[in-house]
Amino acid sequence: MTMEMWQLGFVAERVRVAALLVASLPLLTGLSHVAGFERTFGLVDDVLDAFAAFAVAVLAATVILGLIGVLAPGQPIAEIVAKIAVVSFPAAIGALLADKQLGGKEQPASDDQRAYGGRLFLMTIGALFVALNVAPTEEIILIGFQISPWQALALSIASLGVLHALLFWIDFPGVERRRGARGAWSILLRDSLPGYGLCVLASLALLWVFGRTDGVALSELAEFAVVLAFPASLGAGLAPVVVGPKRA
Amino acid sequence: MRDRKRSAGATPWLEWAVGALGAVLFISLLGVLLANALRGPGPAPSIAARVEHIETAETGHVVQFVAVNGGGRTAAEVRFKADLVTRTGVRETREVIFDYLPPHSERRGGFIFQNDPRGGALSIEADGYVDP
Repeated sequence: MTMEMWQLGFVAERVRVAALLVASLPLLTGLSHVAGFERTFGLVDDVLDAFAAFAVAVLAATVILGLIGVLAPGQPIAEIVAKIAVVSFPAAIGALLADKQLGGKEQPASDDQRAYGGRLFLMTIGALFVALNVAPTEEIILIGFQISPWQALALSIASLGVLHALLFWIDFPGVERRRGARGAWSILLRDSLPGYGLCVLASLALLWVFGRTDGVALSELAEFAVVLAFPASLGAGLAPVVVGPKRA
Repeated sequence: MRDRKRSAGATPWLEWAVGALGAVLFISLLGVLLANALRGPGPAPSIAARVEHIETAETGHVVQFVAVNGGGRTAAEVRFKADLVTRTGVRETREVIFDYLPPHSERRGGFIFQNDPRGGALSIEADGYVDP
């Protein structure tokens, strides 16, 4: 809902918005699979769920952007389409999760923990979801300009610490089991560090989509990525909690 | 929905319908975006301004104008300058900046003059812009 989000509609390069749209489809499908309550239903069902979430997202985005006057008659189609496309990915994640959270039934008893890949995938989704809303804002760039390399380093360590603390301490299902079997170091190496790496990658990808990487020196780019990876790691750390509470 | 699905053992038609709707929306959005992208960057911003009407407010005379970008690219921080020479020969200049002027779009704004521009010579021109 920030100004930058809809300004992207006429500022962002169409190819990059299209790339975001294309990338959103496998991510939504994967989310439907990982967060889903019905593992027995195959790929077709997950793809259907992804498209359904997408439909809900586009309709909701159109209505809301229309209500708040961001979409108005007389605007060129290309502009309207780009505005909706940019907002639809986070909206679709929301739609999918809402369905799983509010509409879902009890998880059929299954003893297996969420697979390792699934955990990392969820972290990526959480990182993208939070970072998407922040990435287009001017503040990320401004903070990137303001901080010194030392502060950037400290910020990245702090982000990693927050992510690690969330993954280690928050009482999400399966954690007792895991904490029993694996100590803090194991979680750090297997979850937190790769998770933070995914946050940085997600941040870089989003910065590229929103044209923030163009003509930027590598050192500045690294700082932008570190700044954006901070909210992203909050999202990554909380995603397993938001998606997994029923998985007791 | 899930219950029905489980008992029927098949995906209900409603899910197919909503899924299909989503697929159609997805493909159309993608189509418009790619069609636009393939067209490449449009011609440079071509910015014009025209006066819509003039009102007299308590604090001055407001010249309401429309800025139109007839080009193919977005212009940011577009600065307009209005130059007024009234009937009595008094000269006033005013400036206003538009954050964005997307291609083929209009944005509205106003200049506030101390002297009545009606009957005088008024010109409004775009000075320059920044690539977003």
